[in-house]
Amino acid sequence: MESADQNLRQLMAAYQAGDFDAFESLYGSFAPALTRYLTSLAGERDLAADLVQETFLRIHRARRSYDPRHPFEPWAFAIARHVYLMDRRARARRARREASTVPDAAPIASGHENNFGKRFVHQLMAGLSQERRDLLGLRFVLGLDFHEIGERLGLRPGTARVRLSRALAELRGQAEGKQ
Amino acid sequence: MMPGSAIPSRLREQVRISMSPARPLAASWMRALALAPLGVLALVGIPAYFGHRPDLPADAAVLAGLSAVQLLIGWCVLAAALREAVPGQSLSKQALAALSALACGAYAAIVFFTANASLTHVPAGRESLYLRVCLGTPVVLGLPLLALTAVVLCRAFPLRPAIAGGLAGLGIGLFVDSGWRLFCEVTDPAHVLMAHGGSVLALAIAGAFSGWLWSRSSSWT
Repeated sequence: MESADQNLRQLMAAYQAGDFDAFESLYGSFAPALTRYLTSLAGERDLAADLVQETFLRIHRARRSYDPRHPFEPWAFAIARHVYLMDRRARARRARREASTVPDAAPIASGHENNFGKRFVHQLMAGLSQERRDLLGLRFVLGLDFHEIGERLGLRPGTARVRLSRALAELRGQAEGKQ
Repeated sequence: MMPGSAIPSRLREQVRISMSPARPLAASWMRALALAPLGVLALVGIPAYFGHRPDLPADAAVLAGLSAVQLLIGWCVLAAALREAVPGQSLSKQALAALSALACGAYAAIVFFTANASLTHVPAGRESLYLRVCLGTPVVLGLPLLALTAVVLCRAFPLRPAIAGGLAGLGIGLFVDSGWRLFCEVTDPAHVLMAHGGSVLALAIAGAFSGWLWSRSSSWT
């Protein structure tokens, strides 16, 4: 039985040759995994759906840069991550522009301590590097094992494990520092 | 095959109207091979146009041999730049650090080895002139070569254009200097590292800056 990666490589090669049906098959095969990955990065399904479309458009523009002798997923996920980072940068710019015109928010009313907890976690995550946020998302949101995480990020499983451990240690350190 | 309705209509139309065969790029080392003539042009063309250093005929094997080694290092750096430009093949921080250290270390070794073989100094009172000429001229010669290399880089889809551009600039800088050192008669490491090395660094910075500018343009977003 062909592996999933072999199937994706063949579809991509046919797509590069100008076969639109191959593009449709590629979308059908890969979009679910791409959606899960972008959901883990973006945290919202609707945003992830937009980013999936944008990623496939970039894949279309960049299709000649794919080498069929190499696995498909690292190439495609690298583009997806780039799309997510560009979108995040654009949102941050918009938020800064809006923040300069919006008055200060009211203090948190009593009875909203749960929201404070979620906000606390978001603040902690925001303090991590993008790589560490990716690792935490792939492991604890998507539930991938270290072998799968390594394939997504181009790391050996052992390296992924060590880096995740460091990410958790940093998260713990930040939480203790803020309390 | 999944039903075609799985693809959003906007995406389907945008892909359909621009669908055409796209020949995959060759491997990075093969595309770097295509750029190798630029190095040979610099190695041979610069001393042919500006004249060669007086000790070249006597020490041709050592001087030209070291320039050939430097050319090879520049070619390896260019190949790394072309690999960096392909999504999913980006170099790790460790690989980038090792490559930069290797290139700088090898360059310094060539400088000191050449000085050891035949030490010559900048004529007294002309330090400023030699600095300007040996720093500025290689940069001017290297910029068109860097522009050509940038065209090759952009045909991939560099996700870190500044890094790819910086590596390309470093490679082109080493190319140009491999020919310039066959023209400039001064082997004093102080002059070579500051002026010639300065031109290599300037081209690397120019490449990184160009990559950064391109990442801000609509061609990349």
